[in-house]
Amino acid sequence: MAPGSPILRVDRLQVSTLAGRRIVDDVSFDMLSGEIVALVGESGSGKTTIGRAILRLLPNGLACTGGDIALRGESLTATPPRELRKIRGGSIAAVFQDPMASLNPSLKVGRQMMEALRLHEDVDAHEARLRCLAMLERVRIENPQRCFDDYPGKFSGGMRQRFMLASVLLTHPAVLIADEPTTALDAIVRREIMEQAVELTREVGTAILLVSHDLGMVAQYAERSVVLKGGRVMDQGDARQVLLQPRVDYTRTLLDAFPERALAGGGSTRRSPLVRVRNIDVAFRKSRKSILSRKEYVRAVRDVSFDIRSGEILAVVGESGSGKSTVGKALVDLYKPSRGEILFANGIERSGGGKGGARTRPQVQMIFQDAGGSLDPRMTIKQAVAEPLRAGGIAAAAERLRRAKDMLAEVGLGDDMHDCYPHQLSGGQRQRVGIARAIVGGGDLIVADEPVSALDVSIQRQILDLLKQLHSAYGLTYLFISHDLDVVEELADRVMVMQRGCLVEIGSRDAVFDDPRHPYTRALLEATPRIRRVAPSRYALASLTNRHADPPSGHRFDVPAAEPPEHAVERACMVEVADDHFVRCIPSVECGGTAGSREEADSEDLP
Amino acid sequence: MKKTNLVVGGSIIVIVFAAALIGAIGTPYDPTQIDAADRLAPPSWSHWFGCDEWGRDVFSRTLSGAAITVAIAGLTTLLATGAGTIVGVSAGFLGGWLDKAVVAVMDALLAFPALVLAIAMTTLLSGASLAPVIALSVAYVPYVVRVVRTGVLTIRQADYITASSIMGNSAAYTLARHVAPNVVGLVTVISTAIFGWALLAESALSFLGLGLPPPAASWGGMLSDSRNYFADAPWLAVVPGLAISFSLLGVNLLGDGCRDLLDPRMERA
Repeated sequence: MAPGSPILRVDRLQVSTLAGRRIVDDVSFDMLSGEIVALVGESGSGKTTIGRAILRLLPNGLACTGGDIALRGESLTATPPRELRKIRGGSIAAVFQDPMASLNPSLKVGRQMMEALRLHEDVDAHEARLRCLAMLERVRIENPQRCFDDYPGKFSGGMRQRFMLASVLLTHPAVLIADEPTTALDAIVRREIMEQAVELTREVGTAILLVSHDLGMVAQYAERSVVLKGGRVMDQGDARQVLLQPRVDYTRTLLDAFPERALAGGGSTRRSPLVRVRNIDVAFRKSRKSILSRKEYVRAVRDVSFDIRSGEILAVVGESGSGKSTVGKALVDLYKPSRGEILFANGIERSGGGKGGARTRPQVQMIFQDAGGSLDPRMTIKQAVAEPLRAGGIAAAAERLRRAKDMLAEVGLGDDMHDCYPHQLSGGQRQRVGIARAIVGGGDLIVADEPVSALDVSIQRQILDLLKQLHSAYGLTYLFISHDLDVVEELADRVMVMQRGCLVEIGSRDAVFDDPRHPYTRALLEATPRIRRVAPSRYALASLTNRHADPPSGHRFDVPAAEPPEHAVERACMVEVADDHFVRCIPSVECGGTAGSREEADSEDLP
Repeated sequence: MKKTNLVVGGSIIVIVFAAALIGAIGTPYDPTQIDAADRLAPPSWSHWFGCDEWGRDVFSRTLSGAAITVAIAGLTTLLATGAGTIVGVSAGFLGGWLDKAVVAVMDALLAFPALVLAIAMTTLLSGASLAPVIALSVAYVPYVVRVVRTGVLTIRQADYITASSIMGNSAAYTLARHVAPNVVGLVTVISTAIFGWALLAESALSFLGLGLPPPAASWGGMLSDSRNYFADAPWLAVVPGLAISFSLLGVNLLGDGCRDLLDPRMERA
C-alpha cells in the first residue's frame, strides 16, 4: 500500500430507510492510517449511521442503497458475511458509549478480552493472557492481574471503557469506530481515555473514526472533521479549520448553540446571603454485611461551608461522587446533615445531629435531571404545577389552577397542552413543566440538579435560555448543580468546585475559570476542551490563562508525606486567595489547634 | 387490540354476572327439586341443559351455581385485595420493622400452595357459612401484598415522590395523592386475577366436597357428581366445565384490558 493512500474510503455513501427516505446522502471521506477523523453534527445528522454502515451493522429497516466503503482498496459492500466477521473486530473495531452494553456481565473481563484475540489470531491461551495483561497495563489499569479475573460489573464506567479500548486494540485494527466513547464519563476520566486512545492508535497506526457531538473534544483531538446535517456533508477538512474558522453557516450555528460566557463579568457584587451553610457533613450508613457488624458511615459531604447569595446563580461542579448532588439534597431537606447547620435568611435553621428541625419548610424547590420521572404519571401537567400551591397555603383549587396555567404559559406551554399527561410531552417540554412547578410557589431558592444534562444540545439551549429569563424576571436564586463546565461558564455568577465530598474552591465565575488555584479545579478545566468565540466567526480552544497556581503562602495542596492523609484532610481549611475567591489547602506546618481553628473561623464568615 | 380484550372480557363477565343474578332471584325450575321421571334426561326444549341423576334441571342448577360461585369469588376478591392493599401499601411505604414483619408472615403463607392452604382452612372452619371465603382470602392475601408492596417500593423511589416531599406535602398526602393512584392499576389487575383464581378454587373446593353442603348447586359439585354418569350424560360434565372456562376467559381478558386502560403510559404503544 502506497503511503498516503487512504486506509478507509467512504465514497458517495447512501443509507435509506425501506420507505426510501435517505438517512445518509452522498457522504464521502477518506481516512489515513493513524489519523483521527471526526463526524460531528446534531442528533439525527446520520453520524452514528455512517459508523454502523462501515461495520455493516445497520439496524433493521436501514440499508446501504448506494456508494461504496473500501478498506485498503477492497470494497466492503461486496464482502460476503463470512469474510465480514473476520474484518469486524479484526481490521475494523468499535467502541460505543455504554461499555456495559458491550461487555458481558457474567463473563470475566480477561475471558472476554482473550475471546476477541483468539478469534482473530492464532495464539495459545498463555500467550493471549500475556498480551491481554500487557494491554491492560498500557491503558493504565493499576492491577491488571486482578482485573483480568474479575467481572465487569465491579468496575466504574471509566474502567470499563478502558477494558473496551484495551480489548479492541489487542488485534491492532486498521480502523476503530468510536461512537461517543467518552460521553458518559467524567471530564478527567474522559481526557485520560482520549489521550490513551490517541497514544495507542498512533503507535499501532489505527485510524479512529470519532463520532461525537462534543465539538471541543473534536477540535482538541481530531485531525480532520466532517460536519453533517440531515445525512449530508456540510463541510469537511482540517478539524481545527473546519470548527474554529467555520466556512459554512451550519457549523457556526452548531458552535453558537454552545453555551458562551456573557461578556459582563459574573455578578461578583456582594449581595446579602440567602442561605448560609456552615460546616455540614452528610453521612450515609453503609449497608451492613451482617446484622452483627458495626454500623459504618460514609461521609458523602464533609465539612462544607458556603453562602448562597440572594439573586445569584451559584454553580456546583465536580465529578460524579463528589457530593455535589448531596449538597443540593441537603438544602431541600431530603438529607439531614449529620453535623453543621444550614441557616436561611428568614431565620429557619436546620442543624445537624438533633432531630425534629424546622416545622415550617423554607421555600426551596428543586428541578430534577429526569423531568419525566419527577412528574406523577397520573397527573395532568396543570395539576402538577398547581400542586406546590396547595402546600403553599392557597386553599381555593380554582385559584391554584389559574396560577398554574399562567405559569405554564410563562414557560412556553400553551393552553392546548395543559391537560396533557407527562408521557405525552417531549423531554424539553417536561423540563419546562418541572421548571414551572419549581417556581410557581414563589420560592426563593431553586436547586437545579443537572437540569439540562439529559437533553439534546438544541433543546438544552432553549431550557438554559428559559432558566436565565426566569432568573431575571423573578429575581430567583439558583443552586445550579452540573458537571458541564460549558453550561456553568455561561450561567453562573459564582462557582464552587467539589471533590470527594469536600469543597475545594469557590469564587466568582471569572476567578474560577480564569484563575483556578486548586489542582483539582485546574485538572477539571484542562480536561474539558471548550471552544470560545474570539471574533465573529472565529473561534478558539480555550486554555488556562494562568500558568501556575501556587498554594497560598504557608499552605500546600498535597498531603505531606509524613502525615496520614485522613489527618491532613481534617486539618485542611479554606483560605482566601483573592477577593471573594477561596481555595482549600493544608497548612504547611503542623500548627497546633490555635492556628488551624483561627483559619477555620475566618472561613466561616466569608465564603 | 386492547379494546377487544376489554369488550370481549367485559361482555363475558356481564353475562356471567347476569346469570348469577338470575340464579339468585329465581330460576326456571327449583335447582334442588328432585324429579325421578326426568332422571338423566338429555337436553330438550323444556330442560335446555338436560337433567342430572336426580332429575334436577341442569340449566337452573348452573344459574344457581353461578350465583354461589360469583358471590364467593367476589367476596374473596374484595376481602383479599382490600386487606392486601392496605397491608402492602403500609409495609412498602412505611418500611422498617413493620415491613420486615409483613414480609416474614406473607412469605410463610406463600410457602403453602394456595389451594392446600384453603383446604386446610376450610376444614378448620367447617360449619361457618363463610368458610370458603375466609379460607380463600387468607390464601390470596399474600399475592396481593407482594404485588402491591413491590409496586409501592418502586413508586417510593420515583422522583415525583421526592418532589412531593420537597413541596412540603405530608406523608399522608403523598400516600393518598401520589402513591395510591399509581398502585390502582396494579390492584385492578391483581384483583381480576384473584377473582379468576377464587372462581376456580371455589369450584375445586366444591369438587372435593368442601364447598357448600350437597343440595346446593355449585359448578365444582356438579362436575364432581357428573363423573359417574359421564358416558350416559356427558352434558352433566360439559355444562359446568364450560361455565367455569367461560368465566375464567372473561376474567382474564378483562384483567388484561383493564391494565392497558388504566396505565396512561400504554397509550402510545
